Amino acid sequence: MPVRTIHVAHSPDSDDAFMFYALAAGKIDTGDVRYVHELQDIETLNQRALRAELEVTAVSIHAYAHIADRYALLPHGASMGDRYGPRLVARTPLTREQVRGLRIAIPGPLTSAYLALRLYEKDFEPVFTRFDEIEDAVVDGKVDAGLLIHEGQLTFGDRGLHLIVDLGEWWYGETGLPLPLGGNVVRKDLGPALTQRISHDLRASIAYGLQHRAGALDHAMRYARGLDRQRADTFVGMYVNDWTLDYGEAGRRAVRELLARGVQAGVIDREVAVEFVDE
Amino acid sequence: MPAEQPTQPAEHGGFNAALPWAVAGIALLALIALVAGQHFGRQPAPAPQAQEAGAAPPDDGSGPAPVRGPDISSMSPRERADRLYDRIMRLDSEGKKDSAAFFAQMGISAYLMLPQQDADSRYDMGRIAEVAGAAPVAQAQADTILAQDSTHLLGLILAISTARDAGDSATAQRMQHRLVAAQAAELARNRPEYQRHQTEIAAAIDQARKSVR
Repeated sequence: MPVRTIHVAHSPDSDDAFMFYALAAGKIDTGDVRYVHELQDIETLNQRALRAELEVTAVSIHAYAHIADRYALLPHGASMGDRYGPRLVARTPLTREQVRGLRIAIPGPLTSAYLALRLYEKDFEPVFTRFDEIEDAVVDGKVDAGLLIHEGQLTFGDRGLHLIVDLGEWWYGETGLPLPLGGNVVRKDLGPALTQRISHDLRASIAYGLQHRAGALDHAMRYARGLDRQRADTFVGMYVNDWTLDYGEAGRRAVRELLARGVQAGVIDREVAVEFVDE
Repeated sequence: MPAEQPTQPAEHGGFNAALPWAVAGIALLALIALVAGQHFGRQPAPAPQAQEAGAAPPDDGSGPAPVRGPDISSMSPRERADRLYDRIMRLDSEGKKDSAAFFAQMGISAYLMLPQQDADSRYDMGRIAEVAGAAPVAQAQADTILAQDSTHLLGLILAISTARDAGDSATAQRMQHRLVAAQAAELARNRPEYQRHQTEIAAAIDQARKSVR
């Protein structure tokens, strides 16, 4: 039987690495489907998804608004912030009113963090910066504040930075929903049979990681960017949670709500027909 | 994915009508293999071994016994992929861009078929992707290598190259700084892939040192 190669791309952070551990390490049988992994920062993946280059990739939920015609959301592997999420930090404490008009380092125009911050405060000057350079940009005074994603959400205090707002916490207060940050998408032209197969394999990979947490965490530590094991475990626990195996009703509602608010606020220029792959 | 072109449906026609073309095609492929086999190889091969399967020399009983060329079918997937890499890089360095691009698609496919990807195979695939004009594929390999090991020399060298191809001189410069900073400790690790690519690594470090002065 011919082998089908599927490119799977995800960001090099510990929660994604944890989820894809079993696939990357060949821990589960994927039959005649071979998965080739690529690791790039989430904004690069968003941009590549815009060009439909990848069969399966992690993207920001915000980016999904722009690729919904060609990709569907897989039901597994979502990164949902349950009362936590991207964190706006600065060198000094600031009120919400003081955020207005600031120059803020943002991890990319298609990130969900950017969308959420626009919903929180529409008036600021974005300075698009690689996610792993944002903390430095704030510390060095190149920007007034920075929006941290990935492991930086846990480490900014070590560098003397102050939390202005946790956007996941703010979002929950606004909606009572978790903040959908990232998800895995599959290109629709693969067809329903292969899509189902991929969905099955991804679910199996996440389930394997959860059942073999120590091994998966060892793998994830390669991408923990300075976190010690305990913090990496905490970080993985933050984003590999109840919604990871399936968005569930609340998760799906959260995705639709975030994108609808983005449209209302004028950040997203089109209505989005959200499509989930059903198993 | 640009690296893998979809298979085109075959033209339909009678077997008899197609046969002469098939024979001609096989003969052409054998000729290409013969010529290419004489011009590439990771290690310089003794001249008699340049004969590829399917292109055995005539045996009239008077000359030395024919020496069989490498049996591709007995090679591992990695050996086959590496063989293509050598061929593509050689063609590219000789300015035979069309031929290099022709084999590049095969080369990328060969690397994608490997059971496991490591930094060495990703570097090779990235270099081939550059030859094929598949910049995102090359960039993805550099990013992946560096995501797994931020000081890996092959990742840094590929990142410099892809940044230059993209006209991103700032990133190229930044990566050259990282290459110079990392090279001593990395070379001391004696990774097998550094041995394989020692000429390219030495050249890249030399160039980076000059650039970051």
